[in-house]
Amino acid sequence: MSLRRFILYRVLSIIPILFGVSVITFGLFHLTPGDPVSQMVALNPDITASQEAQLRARYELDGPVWQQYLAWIGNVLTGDFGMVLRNNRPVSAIVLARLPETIALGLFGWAFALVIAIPTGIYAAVNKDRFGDTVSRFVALSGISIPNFWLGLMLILVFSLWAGLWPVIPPSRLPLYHPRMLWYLILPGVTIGTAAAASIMRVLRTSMAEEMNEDYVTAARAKGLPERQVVLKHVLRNSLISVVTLAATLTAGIVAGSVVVEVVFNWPGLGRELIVAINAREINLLMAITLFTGVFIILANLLADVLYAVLDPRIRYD
Amino acid sequence: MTRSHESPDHDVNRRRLLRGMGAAGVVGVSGCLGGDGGEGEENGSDGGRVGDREEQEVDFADLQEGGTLRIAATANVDSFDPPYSTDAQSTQAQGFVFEQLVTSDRDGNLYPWLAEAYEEVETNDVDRTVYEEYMVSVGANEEGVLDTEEQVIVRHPDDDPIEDDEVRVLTPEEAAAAVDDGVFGMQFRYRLREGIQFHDGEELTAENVVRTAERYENSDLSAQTYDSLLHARAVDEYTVDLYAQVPDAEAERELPGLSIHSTEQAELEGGELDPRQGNDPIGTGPYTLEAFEDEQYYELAKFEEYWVERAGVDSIDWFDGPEEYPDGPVIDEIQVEIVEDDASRSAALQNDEVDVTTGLETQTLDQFDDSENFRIAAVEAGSYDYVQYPVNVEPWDDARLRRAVNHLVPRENIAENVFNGWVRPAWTDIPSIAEESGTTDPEALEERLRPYNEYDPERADELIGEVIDDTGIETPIEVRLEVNADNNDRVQMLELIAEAMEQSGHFEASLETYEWNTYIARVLDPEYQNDGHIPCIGLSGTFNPESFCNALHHSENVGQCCNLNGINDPELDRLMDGARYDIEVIEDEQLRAERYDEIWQYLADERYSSITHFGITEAVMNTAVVGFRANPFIETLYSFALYSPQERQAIWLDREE
Repeated sequence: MSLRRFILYRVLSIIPILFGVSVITFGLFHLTPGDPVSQMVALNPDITASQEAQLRARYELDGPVWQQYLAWIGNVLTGDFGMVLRNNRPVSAIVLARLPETIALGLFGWAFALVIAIPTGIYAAVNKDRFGDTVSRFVALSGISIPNFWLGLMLILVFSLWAGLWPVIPPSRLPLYHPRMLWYLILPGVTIGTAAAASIMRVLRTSMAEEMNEDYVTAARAKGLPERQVVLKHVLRNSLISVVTLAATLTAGIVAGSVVVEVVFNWPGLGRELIVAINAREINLLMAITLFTGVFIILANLLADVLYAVLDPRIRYD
Repeated sequence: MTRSHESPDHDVNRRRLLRGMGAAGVVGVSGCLGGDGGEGEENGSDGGRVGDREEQEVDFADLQEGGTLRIAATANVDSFDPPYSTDAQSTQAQGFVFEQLVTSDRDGNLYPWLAEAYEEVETNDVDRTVYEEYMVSVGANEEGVLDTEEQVIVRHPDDDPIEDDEVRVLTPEEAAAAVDDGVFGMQFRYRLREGIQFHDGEELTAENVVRTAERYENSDLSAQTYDSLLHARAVDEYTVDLYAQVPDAEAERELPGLSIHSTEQAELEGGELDPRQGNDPIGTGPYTLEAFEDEQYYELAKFEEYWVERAGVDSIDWFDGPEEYPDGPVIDEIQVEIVEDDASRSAALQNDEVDVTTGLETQTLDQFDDSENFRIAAVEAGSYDYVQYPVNVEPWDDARLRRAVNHLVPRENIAENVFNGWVRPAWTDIPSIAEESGTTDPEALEERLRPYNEYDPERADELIGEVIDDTGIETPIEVRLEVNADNNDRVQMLELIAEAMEQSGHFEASLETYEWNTYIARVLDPEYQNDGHIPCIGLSGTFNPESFCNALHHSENVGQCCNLNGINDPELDRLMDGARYDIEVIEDEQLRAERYDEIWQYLADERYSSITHFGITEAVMNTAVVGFRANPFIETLYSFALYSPQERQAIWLDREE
């Protein structure tokens, strides 16, 4: 199968996957008690059961689940993701407003992870079992073990409250594309990228340490190639395949991590919106965010598969 | 009978004396304390760290005009549309922009506001069946959904929309016909101030009030609005009548609770009065909405044509404050950041990114209270937590058992150790904000009822012994306490109660926590009452004493908020209805208070529920904010603090401090 056909096949496979995701999410969500109306009337003694039913009928939440799903999917196929009931706002407008914020945060987290992990991984592999390696492994293990929310709060404590270098609340009046936003992305970006950096570093170190013992490395050294060239050109390239394998998983982790990090840093992205949607039982918003997230993770997987081919021409698409 | 309300009764009551209100000359008071932190610890839990606070004196001669107040709000503004929002943060935001016909002080005394005066014109001794001849029949499906697009003002008390296929209802058109014929419960007449301008330049007239009332029809707030309101009618350009359905002791407070709309915005569809829909809210209030970014921030600026500013505060006939008291709020701009995470709000305040915030946990409040760089303004609120006993499941149908468990509720321990002294134990079922109408003598009531609510394991043991002797039940009794998991304080409180029950040796008490929506759906299920569990929930009451007994105990509230365990006591229903919907209690406030005293005693004897404590409304601020006093209701916390002549309340910013 050619690469082009492979990509086309994978893109088309998104449709049944998303359909499955939507059915499962919609079904599970309806198994959980509560909806936007129950939120409205929960602690209001003035609302009678009859009035509650009236409200549910008004917001079309009174039909069976399958009927609600068919109505929802029918609208989605025409590009209508519905409204947020509590503020009468189109879901698509909210998602489109929040998506860039989450993408920026995710990309920054990824950039941070790569910038930190690759040099550290190389250094640890080259200095295997020495003091520097031990320190970097310890730091990596800590990076994987520390929960996002705790790290975020600690960064706020140290760099915002004690050092006064960053504000606690990001400047909501600055547009995302403003150069100064790069500065404000640092703390949440570091928080979201730390676990990924640690994972990449550990995998890269292990992979490179194994590659260093391969015959082709010995041969390259015997030919008199400089060690720097051996490591960076031959060993690193082959070791990066293992890192790419991780990429899709880490992307999913970064997307999931954005939920907590956006709440801690008051970052107005899709993650924070997802929490709002779940708490308010806003099914339309939740479904839209789930679908967008699903598409994003599937594309990340696809990108990882394509990168295999770039890094290792022996890989075939069967 | 006619009662005029040019100004409220200024009797000095106990709480006013306690608060040192009404200081002479130019000195007002503020409910802020610099953080010495010492008082609260000596006070014990009765006064708590709120009740016994000294108040910061402010001198309006020192007042500074201008500046930007930076607030960190706890949640997004779901809607700026008053009839189409029910959350506290939305109401809080609307409070800067919209105003009502009357306002109230912290004790619940009413003051004419957009109305310069109002009076009760007529009261008729009727009940809701009087509208029978005006009613129309509409269909009802099995869920009780009525087949009508119209607002149901009154449903015939004999008809049940869930049981019956058709029910008789009164809709707005027929309500107007009834009023034409002189059929109504009460009539209040409001004389509007002339020359009040909306933000778009329109002058306020009686027609605005009528159209606003119409816009509340079939809205998210229609249930509470048309719980009392029958009809609104313009008499002339500046006079409007509001009619109540039946004689109602709370009508004076309930009827004018409408955020008055401009003519243009009264025509908007439900939910469209919102900047996200391209419609910035237009009210008569002191601030105009200048910017709004969904879930991030909103900004307000002073309305230059604000009616008090133009007419002068001295034009308000009941105002008797100092000469230096300002003619309107003095802060130019308000920036509200939406920060949902408690820790982030707290950090932003410490980092001087905001001036004031709310909704912090009591432990965090302690830290701010101990700092000289911050002040806390706090006041007892109408919020309360309660547990409710499964009265329809043996052996809980025995009042002695319920009273016994009530003696195992360690109220002082809860107030001191769970809430760090920031709340007051509920020695009676009524907090201070509702004492005015809710009891003849607060001290005597507490003296009488406190012994019923003290932690007293010996008395509990005696009572359970009696139950065992009489009924032969076996102990330990297995019981499950239930609570929502997202409220740590409440979970800890239930742990203490469960532990006390276990220690008595008579109970095997377990604790189950649930996600909020799951929990609500669970406890509001009409079948829940048969499960034999003890749920715990928190509610917010009002100045109306009924809000501390009706929602919990009235049979009408079974299967809805918040009679969770199916209490159906006709005698108690009668007492509660009689304390509000009886022409005698409208004419005789003392009689109403006496009837509530009877209710509190009845509840102490029957003990269907145990109210554990009364909460607080608080704001934490840096010392640049001067003069901030808290209002019992979070919804009006900021609008009240910014400018409230009825309490001689205003805040300003002193960035030099």
